[in-house]
Amino acid sequence: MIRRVFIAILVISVCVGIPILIEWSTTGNPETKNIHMELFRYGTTPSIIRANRGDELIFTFSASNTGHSFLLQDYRIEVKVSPASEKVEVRDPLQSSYENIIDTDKVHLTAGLEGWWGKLVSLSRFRCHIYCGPMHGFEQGDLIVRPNWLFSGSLGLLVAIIIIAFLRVRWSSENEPKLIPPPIDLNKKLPILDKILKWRPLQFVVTLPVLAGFVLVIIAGFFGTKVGGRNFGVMLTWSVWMALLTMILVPLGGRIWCLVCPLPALGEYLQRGATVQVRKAKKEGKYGNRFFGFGFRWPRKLSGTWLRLLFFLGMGTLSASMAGQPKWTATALFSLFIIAIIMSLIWNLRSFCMYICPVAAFISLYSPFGRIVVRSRDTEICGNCRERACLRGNEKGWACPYELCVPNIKRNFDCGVCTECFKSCPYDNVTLGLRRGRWTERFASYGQAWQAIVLLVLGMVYPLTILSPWTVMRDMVNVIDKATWLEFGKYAAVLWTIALGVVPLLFWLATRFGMLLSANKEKKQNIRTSGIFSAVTGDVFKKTMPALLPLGLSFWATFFIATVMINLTFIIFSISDPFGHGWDLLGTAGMPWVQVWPSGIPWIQATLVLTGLTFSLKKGYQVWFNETGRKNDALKGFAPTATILILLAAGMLIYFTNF
Amino acid sequence: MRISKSTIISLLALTLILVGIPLAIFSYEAHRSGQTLAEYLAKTLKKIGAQDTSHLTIKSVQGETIDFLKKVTIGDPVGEAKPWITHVAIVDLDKDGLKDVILCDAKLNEVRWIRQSPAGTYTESKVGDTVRGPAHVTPSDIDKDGDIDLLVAQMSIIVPENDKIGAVVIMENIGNEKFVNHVIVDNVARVCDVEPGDFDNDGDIDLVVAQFGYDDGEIRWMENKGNWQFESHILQNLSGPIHALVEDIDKDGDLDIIALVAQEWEEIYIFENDGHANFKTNLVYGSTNEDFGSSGISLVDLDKDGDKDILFTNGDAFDYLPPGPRPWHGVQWLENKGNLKFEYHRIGNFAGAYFANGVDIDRDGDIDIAVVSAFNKWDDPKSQSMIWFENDGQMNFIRRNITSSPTHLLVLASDDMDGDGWVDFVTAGMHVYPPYDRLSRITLWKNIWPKRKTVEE
Repeated sequence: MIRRVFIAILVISVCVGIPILIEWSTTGNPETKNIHMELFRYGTTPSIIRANRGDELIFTFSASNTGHSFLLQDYRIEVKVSPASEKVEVRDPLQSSYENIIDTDKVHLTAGLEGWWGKLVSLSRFRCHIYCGPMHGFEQGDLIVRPNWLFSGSLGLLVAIIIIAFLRVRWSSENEPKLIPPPIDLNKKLPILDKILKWRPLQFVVTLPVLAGFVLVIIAGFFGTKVGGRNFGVMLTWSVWMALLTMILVPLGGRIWCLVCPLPALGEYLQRGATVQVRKAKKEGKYGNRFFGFGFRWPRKLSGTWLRLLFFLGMGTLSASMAGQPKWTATALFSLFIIAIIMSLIWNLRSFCMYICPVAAFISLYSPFGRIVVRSRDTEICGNCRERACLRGNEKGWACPYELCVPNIKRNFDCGVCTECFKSCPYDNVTLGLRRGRWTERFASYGQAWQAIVLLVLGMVYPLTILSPWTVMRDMVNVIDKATWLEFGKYAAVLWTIALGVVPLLFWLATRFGMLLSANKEKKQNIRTSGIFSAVTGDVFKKTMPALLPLGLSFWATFFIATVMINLTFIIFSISDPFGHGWDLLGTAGMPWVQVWPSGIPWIQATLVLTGLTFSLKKGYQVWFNETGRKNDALKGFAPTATILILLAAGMLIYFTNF
Repeated sequence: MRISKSTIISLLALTLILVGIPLAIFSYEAHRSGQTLAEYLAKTLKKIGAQDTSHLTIKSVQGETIDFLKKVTIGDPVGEAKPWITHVAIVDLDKDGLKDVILCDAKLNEVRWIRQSPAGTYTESKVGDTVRGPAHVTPSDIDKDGDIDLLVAQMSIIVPENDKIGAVVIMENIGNEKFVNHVIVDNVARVCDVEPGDFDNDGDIDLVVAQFGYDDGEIRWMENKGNWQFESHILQNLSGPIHALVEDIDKDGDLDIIALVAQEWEEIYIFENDGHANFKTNLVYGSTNEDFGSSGISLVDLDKDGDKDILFTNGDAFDYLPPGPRPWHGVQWLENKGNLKFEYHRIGNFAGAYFANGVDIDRDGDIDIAVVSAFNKWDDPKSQSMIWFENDGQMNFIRRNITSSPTHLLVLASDDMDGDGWVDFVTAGMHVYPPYDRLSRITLWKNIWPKRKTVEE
């Protein structure tokens, strides 16, 4: 064991050390550089400034349309730039005083920060601190100082992870993977939790405050300020809620958000004709409860995950516009709310959540990470159960809104943790479990596999467009005030083609190639004769695609961690003045904008990418080991898919650390 | 059907959230803006909907150009810089019987005085100490010592900026053409306008301050406590107040405040004084077009019915990429119908309209309107930077061109500069964006009306 740890440390040291050494030795000596910055809506030229540590940077500025600022918080400098004025005003953004503003025509800066942390900081992002339009919040550029330890070190670490992963496989035995222990039965461990879960008004009570927040979001979006950073609707939706989902709720709680989600709540109350009570069916039928509405079954042809995937992709394509314009955010959310109500009166149960909801597309896909699971306590009891109250409902609980029968719940994808089955089960056989060990969920359909790919692609596209140093990328997604519909149309077409066609095809071919690599001669012949798009390949493809989930979620986390750290003061601000109408509920409405540890953001992003890749490689190998039963075959089989994942991770690492 | 207690409670809770929260917020906002809930809802719902184009109703017709103004450059020459003159005021500052011009130069960060002495000769000099980004200057004998002091609105940075860098500066006239700066309040949202008035009827002069800010603005009145000490009372927290004027607009014997709030609100408020400086907010106009571009407001008895009407322009276009005119830009007035009721009338379109003055230009007994533009299509040499609307006496207006050069005219002041009984104009250039081919700093437009002799006879 000690030997292996030693080897791992050695591998890391060598892999990280060599690129760092190369980076250090190839960095030039300090020199003086003159840089003219042109500031405009929405960006700067140049957008990326590269320098060596110790370089004397002499900046001059101009603004081409309205006033802008060049805020480089790491260097404690903010330059206010006015059009038609060669002089600029310079101040320290971390000081509230405005007495020390300097009027100058040139700004001198020494590349590289002081102190031990400062020496590690190579990438500092500059932003604009003067609202200049809907896309203002996304303006950014980079000052990149060599030697760039993070860039070289993280790429070295990426190589080390691959080598160590390979070594771990070599060191592992050929035995079957360890049995996964059953989840901890929280209902038994915590009797109070058991009581709460069986308390009838539970869902109503926990949904109520979220519904109140939702109402505020809608009001703020429609009636509040159009400045996104000052609007509670925009801040809560895109900076708080999505970040919470991505970084806390889904990774820890799976689909726990669905328990409190306000979108289907009102529709469900109308459909049930009740808020907290249960209505028992008057006569025996499909369900043990009485419902209002037509109660049609959702059309079979439209079932599955495709529709909600397309909804998610659609919203994802427009997300920059929605985040930049409060009315768009409110319109999108309100539309979903209304669709959910209408659907609940036409189709049965939570058809909206199962087939349409774009949020569920995200939550459901990444729910396997969640430690919270709903499972049956004793499968034998369920086997003998004839009532199927969890599925059908009874006088104590409503029929499962997701059409699930608890003994059949083996994965987190489908269960929305509404807790009705805890109430309806006459045998007290439903538990809220705390998952132990690795997650084992598999995709049941191509739709889910595509979902994993599309969300992986969007997880990369968000940072590349919305948080991009390149103005052209930002302009591409900006249809709010530049109204570049043609450009946006091209962007949307390319995005959809890549997400739904090109990348899935790549993974499909990688799977097939892996099958060929890992198979013996006889099998190879069978695979070859079955054709590229055969069901055999499709089956392995579906099994492999869960490997994309850790990396995909890490990409999303990189986007939202940056969003939260940049906007935290705006979040606090908008809670105090939700509509931008001059309220000050918490006394924080006038607080200045300060980013939280901006120099740490690339480090956190790099860590997230490497962590995501590690778990993706691990998951992929497990899948293939289960498929082939042999280490070597698993390695060979997964190698093509792993290569794509490694390349994607490497690309994003380079982007986060060197652009 | 039996309804359980829990159902009733839950339904009440749901109603509270779905109806109560919006109702509470809307009622509060309606109360804050002096509207009824119905008025507030009607207005805000209109704002959500399609852009209102009712303002495009043109009342004026285009008439022939009458050459009646003689252009004279006064003060310092343009020089190398592209001038940023943010405000001009006409006043006899030295009380020598000749009208002078006071101006805010945001490039020099100075308030300057163009002194007329002797008649027809203008000499420019600096007043007081430096004021960073001066936006507005109002002459007023605030200390009641018999000379004219200057109230200066300090934005600090003229172009968009939300930092709390604004200040109110009073330049005390200490005689011998010398002024001493008193900073009355600083580190507040950028200040666009300061106006004097005795709001609490205690005999001294208080101030009303319009703070544009950017995302965070305010309107406050400042109670004069004597010895250059003022106590602030916040009237409103909306972003974008441009002007706050003082007038007994409801004719109840005390001074009210009339404010134009631009940015995304595009509204005109009257803060109605009860005589003890307790103000009630009244929204008297709000555009449903959030890009309306409110730019300037002035008070004038336009219809000569004995009360002051509100004349205002919309032509601000800094929000656009590139800055430029919009079809709804123009001039309008709110007819005072009494009891704080006003009726909207469009006078005419004018691209980039920035400020309008209601004066009897042709001395025919009715009020005409002169308007300047800061955001016309300057690439087109025919684009007008100054026009006037001739009143036919029946409140019908004929639009007449004045000039297309210089461009970028942000401010306009009118008075009889040469004492000939005819109103003259002073304009100033604010050249914040190209083209820079027709620059100006301060221009005096002397009225040489061709019919004047006839009228005088």
